[in-house]
Amino acid sequence: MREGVEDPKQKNYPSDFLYQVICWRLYLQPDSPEIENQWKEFSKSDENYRLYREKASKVCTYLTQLWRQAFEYKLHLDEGEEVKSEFLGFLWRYLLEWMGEGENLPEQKKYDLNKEAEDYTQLFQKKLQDELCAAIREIILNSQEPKLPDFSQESLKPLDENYKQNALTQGTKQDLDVGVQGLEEDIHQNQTLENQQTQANSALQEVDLKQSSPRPKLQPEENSQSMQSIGQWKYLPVSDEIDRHTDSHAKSIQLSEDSSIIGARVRGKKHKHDGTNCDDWFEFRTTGDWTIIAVSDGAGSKKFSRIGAKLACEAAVTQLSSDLKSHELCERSSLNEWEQALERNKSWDFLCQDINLVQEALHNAMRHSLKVIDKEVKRVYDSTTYFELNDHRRPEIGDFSATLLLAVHTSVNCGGNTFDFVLTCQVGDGMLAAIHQRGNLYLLGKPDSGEHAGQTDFITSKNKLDEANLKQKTFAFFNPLKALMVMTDGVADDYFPNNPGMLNLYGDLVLNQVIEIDKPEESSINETLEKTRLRNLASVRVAEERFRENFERILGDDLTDEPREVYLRSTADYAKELEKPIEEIIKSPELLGAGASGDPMWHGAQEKLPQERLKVWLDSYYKRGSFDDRTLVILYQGVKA
Amino acid sequence: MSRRLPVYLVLDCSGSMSGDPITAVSQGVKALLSDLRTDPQAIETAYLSVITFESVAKQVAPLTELMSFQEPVLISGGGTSLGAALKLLTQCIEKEVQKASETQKGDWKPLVFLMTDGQPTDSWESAAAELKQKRPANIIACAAGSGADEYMLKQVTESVVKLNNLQPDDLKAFFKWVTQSIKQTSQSVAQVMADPAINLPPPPPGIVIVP
Repeated sequence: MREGVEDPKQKNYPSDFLYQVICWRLYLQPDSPEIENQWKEFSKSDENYRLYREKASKVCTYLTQLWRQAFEYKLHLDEGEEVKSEFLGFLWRYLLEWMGEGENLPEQKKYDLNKEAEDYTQLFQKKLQDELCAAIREIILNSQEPKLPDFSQESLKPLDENYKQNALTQGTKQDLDVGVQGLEEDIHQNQTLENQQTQANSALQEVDLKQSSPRPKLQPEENSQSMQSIGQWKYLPVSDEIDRHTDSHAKSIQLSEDSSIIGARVRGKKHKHDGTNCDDWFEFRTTGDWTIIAVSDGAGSKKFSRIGAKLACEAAVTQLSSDLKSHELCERSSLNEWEQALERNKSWDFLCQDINLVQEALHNAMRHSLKVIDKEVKRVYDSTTYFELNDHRRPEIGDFSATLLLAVHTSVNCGGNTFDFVLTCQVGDGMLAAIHQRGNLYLLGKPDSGEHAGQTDFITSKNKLDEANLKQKTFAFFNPLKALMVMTDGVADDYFPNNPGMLNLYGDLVLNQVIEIDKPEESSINETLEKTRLRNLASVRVAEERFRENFERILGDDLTDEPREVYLRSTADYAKELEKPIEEIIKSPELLGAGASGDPMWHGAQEKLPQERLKVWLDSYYKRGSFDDRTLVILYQGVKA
Repeated sequence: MSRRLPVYLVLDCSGSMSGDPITAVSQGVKALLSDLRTDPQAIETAYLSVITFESVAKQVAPLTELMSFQEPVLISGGGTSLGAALKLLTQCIEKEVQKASETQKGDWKPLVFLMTDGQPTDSWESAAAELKQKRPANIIACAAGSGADEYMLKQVTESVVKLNNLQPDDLKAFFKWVTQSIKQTSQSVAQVMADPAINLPPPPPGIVIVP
């Protein structure tokens, strides 16, 4: 008998008990006189009884929907999702048997699946019971409707060998009691259908061993002590509202023979769990000799902030394109001249006009973005849709609050060598960073933080766009560039402190083959490795399992062409294995090349475009407490084409 | 190291809590724990600690992440050393809560739920004044039952609620409300707020906000 049922005091956990009562009434749990008695005790309290009715109603609605789908299938009323429906038809047969009408079923219909049909049949039954119990539990614990069970072919593979054995020993379809007992046994043994979770280790044990936080679980895990599930991150699509953003976006431009720019943004765990929009946005464009980048993060608490983010990026990039299209920097023949040119006076203006013009253009773009948002606010001021969505308040500019990070880049020839000129400007949080060709890190941003922890400023905040303030947030870079990265705080915070965290970020992108770099010769790599703890490439391969980990992604079911799991390397852990500091690794193409040798993040990743890989990586890497939307744009020197 | 939401439960375990009340409190803590464990955001953000006080104050559970948290055994008996509890709370916060620096993001402002059912038996006024002035945490105090003095608790913090009696059902409802508050806070801190203030869910019947 399951634990936690005997003691009447356990009724203090309404959820546990409600689950048991409801399952018991639906014959998903064995009968017992204790439950009857406990129910009598439990339902004495008005509050308890009300709670029962509330939860039972929800279960009722859910089950009705489930059977409805089955009947629609049987009566050919559905739209023909063949694979799924086949098994839904099973529900009706199951129901018939439940009611004892099994003998009316045509014999041949029972096994029309494949030669292992009998196993599959028991699998469906067991899975059905599992799914129903899990759904009921979820209804009781959470206020959201669980998704209807997935009975597609895909979800039943792979068939675990162990499980198949149990399925066979659980008895036949007709013997319902045995089936239910089997369910009980299974729960006690902590078995689930997922291959990955066939160990008896509960989530609790896993955490103790690793001393780190639980990975996102996609199925509720059962711990042997209680029936309550460990909270898992859900995936909910966004319900239709105005300006519904896509879950994610990725883009790239080839800038020259060996340099390109890629960018991606993804919806964070929190928004996926709540079914709300991604609040990030990015844009980039080339114009004349310039590359222009804009990244923005809408304020989480503001209703239309994602629209503010989008408008800000588009407006800024458009304005900068227009201002910089025919702008050329002066020719300077020596580095010395350039150093002088980049000096600023007391008012923080650049001494040289050609450079100062770029600063002015950046600030102009900031202000233009604000103007565009303001115009949009006026446009929707009288809209009833916006009014209703805004909790019955008229929209105002604060509801569109967003940060804005801008960067412009151009290549410069100086004394026969190519240099990269970058100018940045930032309002709000997030980060911009440049990595020198030789591997040194330059932070090109200073995040705003408001008075209190967790606060930041936005372009819509008071006085943020004052000239004096913007100049403080404008940074110049003039050096040969390995990579320029612009990101929202969803990424920046995960690599904090940013010095040297931004080097780890670049390292992670290289190690996971998101961006490909020129790999040195193997002999040269081994020579460099000899001076580290790992000695040679073979040792690096062996050590890889200590700096690489599997991650399950939180995805909607409709994304079938994306990997559900990825295998990611960590530069921080790689550095530990080599016993070398991160700075040294980033400076060394050999060490980076060694770390990046080996399998890609998932099978088939090399065939994808770099921005697709960036998108998957952004969507998959795990850092505890990191639930925000993630956006990253990188301009980098890659493999010579 | 990511930002954590530290949560301290400061619980009166004096003699008057013996019997049903202390059992209900134990179960309340247990229910709080398993309920929080169903929320993925709370799992990654909230860290819990329990401080008890009767004749002495003790931190019976140090600040721990939810998945590794072991429920402490609560035993009642003795006086009501609120002063000692407040001093210990200050010390624990000082020691355990991470401050923001160049190299690390600081923890979110801690949430403290303080519950007492009677008059303090030690000198507590200066410890209370210090807490109210320094505000190292968002403190919500609960005056449980007729023996508790909610106006006394107002000297510790502005946010005071009153439980009309110490019945198990009321204590259970109180802990449910505490759980909701923690969940709500852990969800809102993750957002970038233009105007962060802790907003608590409305208290259930039987719990009154003391104006």
